[in-house]
Amino acid sequence: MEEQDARLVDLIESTSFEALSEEEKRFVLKHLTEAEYTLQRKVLGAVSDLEYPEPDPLPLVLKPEKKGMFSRTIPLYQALIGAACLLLVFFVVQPGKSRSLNLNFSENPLQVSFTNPATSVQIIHDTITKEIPVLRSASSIIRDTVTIVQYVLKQPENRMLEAGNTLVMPPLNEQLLENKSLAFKDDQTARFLPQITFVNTMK
Amino acid sequence: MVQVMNHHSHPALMELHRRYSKKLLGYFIKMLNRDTELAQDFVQEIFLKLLEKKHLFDPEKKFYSWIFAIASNMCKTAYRHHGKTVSLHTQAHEKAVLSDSELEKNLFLKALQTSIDNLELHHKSVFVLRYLEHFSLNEIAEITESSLGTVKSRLFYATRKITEELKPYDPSFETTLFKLI
Repeated sequence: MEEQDARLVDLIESTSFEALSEEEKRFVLKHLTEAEYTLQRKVLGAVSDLEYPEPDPLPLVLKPEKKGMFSRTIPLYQALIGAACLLLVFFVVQPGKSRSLNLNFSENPLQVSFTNPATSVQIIHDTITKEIPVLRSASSIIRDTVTIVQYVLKQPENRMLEAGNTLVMPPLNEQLLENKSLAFKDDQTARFLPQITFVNTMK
Repeated sequence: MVQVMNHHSHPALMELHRRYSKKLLGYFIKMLNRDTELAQDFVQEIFLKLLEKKHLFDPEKKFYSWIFAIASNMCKTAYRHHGKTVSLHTQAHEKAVLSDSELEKNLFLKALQTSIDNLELHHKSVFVLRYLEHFSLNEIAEITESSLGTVKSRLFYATRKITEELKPYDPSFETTLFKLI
């Protein structure tokens, strides 16, 4: 369809109906009458006779020149501060840092007390990397490191009744059983005791 | 010219204005239905747009085509925002007694002008560029960012639409029609 329109335009612009070949006439008459074809040519010829106002253009009025953001110059100190901030951000936010999960278990479990045989185990989940997506920043992902310390109270595997002879007793010696106390009358420290008078009220 | 523009100098812009403003003003007047004031505003605006959009210019293409492409887009935007401007010359549609040949011609031209004003924008644009501004078909294709076939097709439909409206003003058409019947 577009090709036919293009051919019609070429013919209308260039050739009068009478000057068309027989094949061109047949082609034209499929789409237009002879009168329409002739009128279209007349229209194109008359267009040049149309009168439009032709005023002189007004002088160009320009606003004060605007400078684009990237064409502006900035003072040297601002550039240096910017570079320093960039370096700081680069060293603080390290996007390629490896992620690791270290679990540290204490080799010698800490005993809660001498009398309570339960032990506590300290588990340290170190360097857990958390990724926080953000829209626009120096790095598209903020990586945060979290250290979690976990204490697990661990009961002894053997119950007390089933335990063997694990109670540590201090060594007994004879001195402990020996009676070395002095009589009250011989005791020099008895003078520090308050004087008490007993009164018999049963009489 | 564009090399001068790249230096962002006002004298270069003034030179462009001197060369192209008259032609652009004529195009805007025809596209905006002879609204001269609006056309003057558009001419001012297009040179400010040149400064803003100079980075979009392809040096491989003609500057003339590029500036008219911007002008064409401005008209498109104006049509979209304000609708088609109503012509003040509707009285030309009134069929008159065609006794005097001069009067007949004037009426025909007025009717033709009105018909052009009332065309759809995409038809009017190619018609004005081709037959009033005398651009080549390839240049129009470049300006309107369409294919050569599309340009020709639009030209044909624009001419046919105008012809339909002008049939009553053409005595020879009536004569030919009478003959055909």
